[in-house]
Amino acid sequence: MFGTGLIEKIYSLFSCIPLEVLQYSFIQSALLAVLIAALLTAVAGIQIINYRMAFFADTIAHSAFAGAALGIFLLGSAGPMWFMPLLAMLIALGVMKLKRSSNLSGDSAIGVFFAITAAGGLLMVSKLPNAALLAQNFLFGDILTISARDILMLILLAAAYIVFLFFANNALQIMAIDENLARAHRVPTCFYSYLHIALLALIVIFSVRTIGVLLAGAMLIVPAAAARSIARSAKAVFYYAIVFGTISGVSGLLISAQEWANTAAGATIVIVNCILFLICQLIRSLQKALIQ
Amino acid sequence: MSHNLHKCTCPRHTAIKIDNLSVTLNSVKILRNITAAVPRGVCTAIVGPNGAGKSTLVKAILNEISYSGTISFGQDDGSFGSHPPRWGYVPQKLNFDRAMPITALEFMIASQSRRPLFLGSSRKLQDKCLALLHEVEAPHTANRQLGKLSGGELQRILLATAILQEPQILVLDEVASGVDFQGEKLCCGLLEKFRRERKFTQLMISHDLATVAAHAAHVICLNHSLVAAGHPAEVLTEENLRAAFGMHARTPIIAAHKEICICSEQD
Repeated sequence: MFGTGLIEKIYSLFSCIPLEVLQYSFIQSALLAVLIAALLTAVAGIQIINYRMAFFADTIAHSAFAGAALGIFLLGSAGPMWFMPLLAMLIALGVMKLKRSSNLSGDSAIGVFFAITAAGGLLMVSKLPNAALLAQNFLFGDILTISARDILMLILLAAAYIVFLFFANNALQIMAIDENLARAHRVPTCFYSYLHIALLALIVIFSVRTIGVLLAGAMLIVPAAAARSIARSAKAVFYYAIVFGTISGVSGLLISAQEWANTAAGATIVIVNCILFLICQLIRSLQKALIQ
Repeated sequence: MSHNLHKCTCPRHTAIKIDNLSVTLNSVKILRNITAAVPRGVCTAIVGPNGAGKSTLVKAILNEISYSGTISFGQDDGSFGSHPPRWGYVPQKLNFDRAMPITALEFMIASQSRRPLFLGSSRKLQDKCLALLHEVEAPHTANRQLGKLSGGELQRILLATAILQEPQILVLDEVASGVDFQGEKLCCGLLEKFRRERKFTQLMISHDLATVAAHAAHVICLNHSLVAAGHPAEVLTEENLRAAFGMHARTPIIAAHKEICICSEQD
């Protein structure tokens, strides 16, 4: 398969790192997945906070249940792979449509979709055999069993998002400040809004695979929020968020795999994230105190 | 022969021609059969009471809402066409997340260049933005966070950003509201200066008749339908103002405008 050669090379690089856990191939794939997912979610998180869409990320994450159950009903075990991203994108486009065309506030528009997908999804999951196992996989993520195909999808998604940002990053920035202004500057605001939210939906749904429904939102929001609290410019936020995201992703995963810790990987990653966030808050209040 | 700026409707000297424009929003008729023109190269003010449809008219001109009737723009080849000009737009206020980390300079750069902010920007563009910030007397704001600026500073950044677009028509929505007297004076002075230097058409919404009388060369007065349009002295009469604003409107002191139709400059 295309790209597997590259992935193998990266794994052999990982195994050079003198850490016992990195000799296991499942930890190697997990580490690569976390690296890409952390980078992607950190960058996407900046926009999610700029557009005040934290709730949106959670809604998409919860749609994973509905997407997976629908997929299993219709296509069997191969179904979730197709139906999770499909449903996530449909919901994202629906939310954007509702937000742009009605006077419903963004929050309530998203709330309606949240109710439908979460309830519908859980309803379908409850009718499946071994529902409990499936639900648990989705709730907490399953990074240690991530497949080469999942990783390849993550890489493709990251590439697509980066290309999108090369075209639209500045326009998104202006749109977040004032959409009319962006439109007067000949920005195709409608097209960018829909494309952006569809890509965000894919990013959320793929991070569900690595970190679980409950914590996917956290992985998006926390690095960007931490970066925001100490950065003064858009450029600084971008790099701080990436640094915080990858540090907590890698160290969280490695800590969770240590014998003395033996914790859930997703939760450990988010805890490291939150510790970084608290440190940033501390730095910020110190800065303020010094200025006064 | 120099002809009348307010009557000239030839495409070379008319920036925007509005013909029989009506706008209905949620089955309420906001604008009824407006026919008016915005002369090129001067300052035109749209006046009217609150809720008269001033912003709606501007939204229709900027093609942000659907309308009936036609809006056409004077093109360089001397005809009217639907191809919109390069806009500069100064919103009344920005309703944004003030904690968003973006500096005033980054904001200007992002509005002008596609190159993502996180990759930095060209020296040339930075210098251009800084020069404009100097011109609007806000060079100290360049590296300050946009959300931390005062109302007047933000207003000037928005003006500089609009000028950066090299607009053919600059649209301002209630530009002086929410700014103190000094700020307003500065803003209006800057606008005059920019317009003279860069020869764009200025279209502003205002409900401050004193500002309009002092700065506008052409006035469009409306209250859902057109009340009057033309020279400030002819439009801002007691009769018209009473029709538009009600009982207590007073005629403001009108500055003597020396601006003449650009026809006469070229002939």
